[in-house]
Amino acid sequence: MDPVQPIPEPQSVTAPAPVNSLPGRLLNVIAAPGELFDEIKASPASVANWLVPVLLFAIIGVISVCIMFTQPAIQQTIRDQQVKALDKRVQQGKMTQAQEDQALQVMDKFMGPKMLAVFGSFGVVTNSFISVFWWALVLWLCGRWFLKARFDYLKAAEVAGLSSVIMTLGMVIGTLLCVIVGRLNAGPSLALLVTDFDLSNRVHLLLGAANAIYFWHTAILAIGLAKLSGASTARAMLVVFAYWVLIELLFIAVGLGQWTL
Amino acid sequence: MAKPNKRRKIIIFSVIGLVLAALTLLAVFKKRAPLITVQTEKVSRHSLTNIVVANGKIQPVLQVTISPEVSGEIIELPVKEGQHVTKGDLLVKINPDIYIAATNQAMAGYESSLATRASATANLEKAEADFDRNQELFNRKLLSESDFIAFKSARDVAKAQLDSANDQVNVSRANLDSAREQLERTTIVSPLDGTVSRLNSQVGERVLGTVQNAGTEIMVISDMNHMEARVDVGEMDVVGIKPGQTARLEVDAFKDRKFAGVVTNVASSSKDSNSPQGYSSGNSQSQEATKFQVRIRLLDKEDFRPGMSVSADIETSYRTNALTVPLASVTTRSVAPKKMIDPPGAGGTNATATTNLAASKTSVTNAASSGTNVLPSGTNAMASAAKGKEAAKPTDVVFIVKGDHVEAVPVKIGICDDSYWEITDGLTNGEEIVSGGYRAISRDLQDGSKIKKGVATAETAKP
Repeated sequence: MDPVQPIPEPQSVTAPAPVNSLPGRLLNVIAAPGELFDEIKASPASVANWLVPVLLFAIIGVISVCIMFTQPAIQQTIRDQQVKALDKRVQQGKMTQAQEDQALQVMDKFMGPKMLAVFGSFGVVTNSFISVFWWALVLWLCGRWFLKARFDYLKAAEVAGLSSVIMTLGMVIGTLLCVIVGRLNAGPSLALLVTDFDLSNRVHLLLGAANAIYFWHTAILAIGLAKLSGASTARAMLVVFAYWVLIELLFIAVGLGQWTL
Repeated sequence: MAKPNKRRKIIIFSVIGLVLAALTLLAVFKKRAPLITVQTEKVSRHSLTNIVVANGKIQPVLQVTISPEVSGEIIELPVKEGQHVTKGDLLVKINPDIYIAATNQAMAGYESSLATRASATANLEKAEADFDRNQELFNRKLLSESDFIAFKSARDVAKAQLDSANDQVNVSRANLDSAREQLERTTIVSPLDGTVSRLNSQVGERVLGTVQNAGTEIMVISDMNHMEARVDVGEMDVVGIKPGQTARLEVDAFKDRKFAGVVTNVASSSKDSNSPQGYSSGNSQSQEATKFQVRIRLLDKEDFRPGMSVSADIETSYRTNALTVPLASVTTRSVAPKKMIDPPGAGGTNATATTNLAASKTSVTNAASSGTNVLPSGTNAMASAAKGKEAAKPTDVVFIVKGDHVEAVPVKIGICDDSYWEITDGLTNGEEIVSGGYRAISRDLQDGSKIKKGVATAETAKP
């Protein structure tokens, strides 16, 4: 008779890594996005995963706007752009010189740095929410149409929300560069090489779009899509970057390039 | 596995932290100034003609107002407005009836005085004859003394009566002459060749003579062959205008044509000071600009009419090949002198201005030459305070481009035309200066301001 074989111990299944705290997740999107999005996919839906980064983006955005519009150089740049735009309308015959003078007086009176900061803050807060839900929709549709994968829209929102931490970091860097250089569109992009940035110049807008933070953010989103859909990272990168390039070119082509900066 | 991940995270966050820290330090410690967009030009040489522009009216050089010397009713007025008349032509005839009667009356008086004189002459002859005859009798003692004196007195009285009659004849003659003169004045003839430029009266109108009144202005006769522009020039410009200067005139009735003229007269007193009180009633006159009348003879012939509006460009001074800058380049700033006082014998534009001050306050020189911020103590403190006040005085400056910033340079300006200022001191030929925009030069730019060159815009370019 054979000796009784010991009952093999059941192999312990490798449990997923413990769920990080929210601050940990916010930091991991920078350092280890793949692991983070694996965690996100496995864990139940959490509003905090997108709401907190959005709020962080909004707060940092408001602070950035307030800092930028107090800079004399930036105020002068804005003034020059306003004058240039009005001069163009006068040359095209859409308004008279007297109307331009009146418009400039109104701008000086009612559109000073404080009002610009208020409007800018409102814009940045609105954009922070819209941006996250828009990217979530893009990821969800890309997954559905191009990667043939189905996942929950809220999961895509969590990915987009956490990815906005990159944009928040980009906003801080961009604000510091604007203050250093004294120009409004001085982000970590090729537009830093342009001394006289012109919002109506398509080449300048393309250079502005070649922004390291945008690339990074798009890459993080692609990684998130890859994890959610189960597709390869390369394929997800292709899809997301293709969308980003097309939307940038479209906006620049129709004259809305300044909204992409 | 966890350790490499942790190390990677540390490296990534360290790099990000370093980058943020470096950018933050740069942002905090870097001085920033707004870049002001400007347009630039080079200081160049041009010929300049200083022009004073004035407006006025065209009037004839010679213009006579015809007013009667005697009063009466106009019975003849054979001329019309615009009619050409020659010297001696009948212009006006006033009813002479009164003056004929006066003349006749004067004639009668004269004749009466003549008769009186003849009578007095005859009486004198009789009285002298009687005197002579009775004097002989008196000498022979054949006549009493009283009777002799009586004849003597009669002779004297006759002599006096003759003298009186002579005087009366003279008076009567003068009255007659005066009456005839008045009669002659009822006929007015033209004193010159010209054109009736204005006719104020009509036949039948009663007119006043100028003997004791201002007189009725019946008509104005003008010599249309010689016309002049009478323009009003402000007190700031009139000092530069002298007879003989040329002018270009533009008459509203003859657009697209320019007429040549020459200044013939510059008023010595303003138009306001010509009024009896020195200024007109009411406050409005005192608020109007002081104007002096300048007369410009028109050299070109044309169908000018008195009263036509004219604009004159009077060329007051010229400069050939002068150092010039665009008009918009010159503005005023309160510029502090670079050095308070130059050492004796030193050159530079500040030497003359400052060494005069140093000569009267020698103790200040030693303190100031050691540095611009030194405040001498004691009794020299007031001199330094006065200098501080002097330093803040606004002066004409031009902004010179020095790389990416500008330097405010005090300049002395001369004459100007419609495009350029003459620079007599402060700049050299070929220097690059700021020539636009208007807002930048007049308000934004200061000494040391950072600039960027850009295209002129309508807002920045307009004065």
